[in-house]
Amino acid sequence: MEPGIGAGLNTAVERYYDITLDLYEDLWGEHVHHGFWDPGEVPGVNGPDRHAATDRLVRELVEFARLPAKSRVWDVGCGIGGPALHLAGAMGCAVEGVTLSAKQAARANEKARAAGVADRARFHQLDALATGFPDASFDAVWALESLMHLPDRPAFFAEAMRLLRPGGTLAVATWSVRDGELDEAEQDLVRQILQHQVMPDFSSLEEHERQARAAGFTDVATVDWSRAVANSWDPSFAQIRRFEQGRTQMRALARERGVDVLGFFHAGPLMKRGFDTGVITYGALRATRPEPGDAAAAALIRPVADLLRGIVGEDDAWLDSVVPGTRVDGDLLVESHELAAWSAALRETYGDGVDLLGHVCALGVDQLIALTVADVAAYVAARRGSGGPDGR
Amino acid sequence: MGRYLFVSLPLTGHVHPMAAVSRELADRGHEVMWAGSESFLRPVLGPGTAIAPIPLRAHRGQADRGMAAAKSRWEGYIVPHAKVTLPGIERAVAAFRPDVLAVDQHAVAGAIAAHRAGLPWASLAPTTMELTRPYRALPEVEAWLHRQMAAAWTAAGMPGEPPHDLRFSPHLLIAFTGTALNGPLDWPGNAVLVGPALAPRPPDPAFPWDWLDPGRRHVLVTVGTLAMDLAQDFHTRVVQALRPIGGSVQAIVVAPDGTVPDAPEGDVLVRPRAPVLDLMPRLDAVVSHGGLNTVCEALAHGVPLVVAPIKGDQPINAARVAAVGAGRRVRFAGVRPKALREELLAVLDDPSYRAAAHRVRDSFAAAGGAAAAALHLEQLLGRRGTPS
Repeated sequence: MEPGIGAGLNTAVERYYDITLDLYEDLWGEHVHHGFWDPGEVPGVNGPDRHAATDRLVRELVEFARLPAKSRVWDVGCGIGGPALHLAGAMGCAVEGVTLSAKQAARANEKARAAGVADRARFHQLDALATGFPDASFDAVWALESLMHLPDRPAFFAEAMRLLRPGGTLAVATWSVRDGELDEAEQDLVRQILQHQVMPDFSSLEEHERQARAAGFTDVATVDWSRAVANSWDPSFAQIRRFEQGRTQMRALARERGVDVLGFFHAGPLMKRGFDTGVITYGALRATRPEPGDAAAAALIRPVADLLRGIVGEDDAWLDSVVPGTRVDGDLLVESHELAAWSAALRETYGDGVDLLGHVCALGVDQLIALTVADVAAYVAARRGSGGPDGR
Repeated sequence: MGRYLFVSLPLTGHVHPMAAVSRELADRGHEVMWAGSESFLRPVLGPGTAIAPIPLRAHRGQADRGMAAAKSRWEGYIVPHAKVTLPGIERAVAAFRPDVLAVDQHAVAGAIAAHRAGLPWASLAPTTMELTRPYRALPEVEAWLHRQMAAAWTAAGMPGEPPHDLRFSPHLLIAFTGTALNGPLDWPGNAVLVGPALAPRPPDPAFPWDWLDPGRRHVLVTVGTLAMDLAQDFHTRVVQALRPIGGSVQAIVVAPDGTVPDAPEGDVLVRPRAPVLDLMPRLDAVVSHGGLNTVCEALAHGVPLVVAPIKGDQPINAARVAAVGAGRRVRFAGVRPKALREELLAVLDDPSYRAAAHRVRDSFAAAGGAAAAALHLEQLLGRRGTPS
């Protein structure tokens, strides 16, 4: 089977999850996705069991994306509803899940009824790019290991933007590849994984980040979780061997369900090799649909960044690359002595009420990491002309 | 004679100076054991050193920089590492019955184990990350750091809050830098700066020594073992910076095979590893990311530096090198080839940089290195630990 595109691929994905539903549920429980471990933890030795690890991945994504409780959530690629039931249950969210597999949707609805959250978690067999939901329907878009199946990822980000209300949150976790060129052997490994898993291609985490920004998202951030999830493919955890009970049974399974069911069994060793060699990566992305912007702050972004440009000795190309969502810490790599000089230059230009260093010193770790050039511009816009002796 | 248990992290830059101290103690007749990953430690420590093995995966480094790197270092590495290694360390304490623990500042589990056993212990600082407390101006960040340590303490089943900062033993702090570079420290009072603890490393018989042209000046370019994903673009700019001065400067670039394209053969030698200590006496400058080991190895030989810091304590080290006049600092991510060449030529041509590097070298030599560290550790024998 060749990786397909468009409707052909959707049909293949639908079919793949229809025929492997029980296999995945047997193997991984209600979560059809990776688990999450601390460095050094080994499944079955000193790490949590499979269900605790897959539960943890869901909690990690909730935390990384800062997904608010009681959100209206669009769950893209909901599987059999494992993550959605957590969101609808413990977090009180209202979830609309979509999957290409009718069997998965039916199984997810069944599980929602059994969990008593059928009123807050509904599942539909729908194409993610043609759901018919109205604009701004959701507080959050949740895509846990589904973007790999979507051939047109820029279209997904555009659709997520359309369906989110301003200020809404996008939360993605996805398989990915190392950024940059792959050599021939690496490309071959990726090709095999794509075929067996019914995926069109992989993007790198960096590409996902660029696509999200290009769609107009702000506060875009990614985190590489490759090492935290790689245990999912350790033979001791994946336990795929348990199913390989001999050629006769495999042949029977293939006869009964079609030969593409066997892709399920090939995935383990290939994925393990992918993670071991760093070719396959895994990460999460969060992003925000921007609120209608504050014009005064927006107008300050470039002059504020230009003051920093002078301090760090960069050129105009650097200045052009600075966008509102550019992070001061992680993107511009501003060091403490540069921050102090930037703060002094801002005070000189915009008045004594502007004390960026003091402002930044009061921030917590996560706020420092998330601080963007737009945030600095908004701070300067709010403080400009205040507190200074000449009241500029 | 005493019994010393060493606890570190599977990080090259952390283990090398501590290994030199452990060897010194063994040479003086003490019994030494390490608790940690045997597959990582064995090649560094050699066949003769006892290891209480704790299976661990090697740390591959993270692409994060800045504050995000600090966050992932603590939340994704130091705290989980403490949780995973503590049982193995405590088994080693029970079996080996050490008199003193020598604990990497980032191996928080070692501090907790020493507390629980009531043993005296020393904090060892193979980086300047904690030494200069760079976050003290950021109260929220400092508070978050203390919450991380408190979480490790509580997860270990210890009562209440840690009695003090677990990165700083109340008994002794040994830092592998010197006052001429980093000091004097205003805190803590029990800190001794012993300078770099260098131990001879296995020779590299394959290194093409006759490639070095005695008529030219020599530069070593090395950005450490954890930053290879970030290094490629930097190395490309390094090669562009060197190209016009190839007639007078030869460079050895430490990088994996095939990752530095278009390096002119006679002027730039790319090697996956280099005999750094053997090379030092023949070098005129080092271009480095500013890891404390590389910086101190260069300065211990009186070689000035161009430092392009990436993360962690590297910006701190870069600032100190610039402040004492032993080198220049450039931006790792953004420095253009032309600017990099000008900075390098300044360090090569202006004798003041070499003179400053020589001053630091002399102060390092006076500080005593591994032997001085061993002397201080011997003074802990017979002391009581802090009851917990």
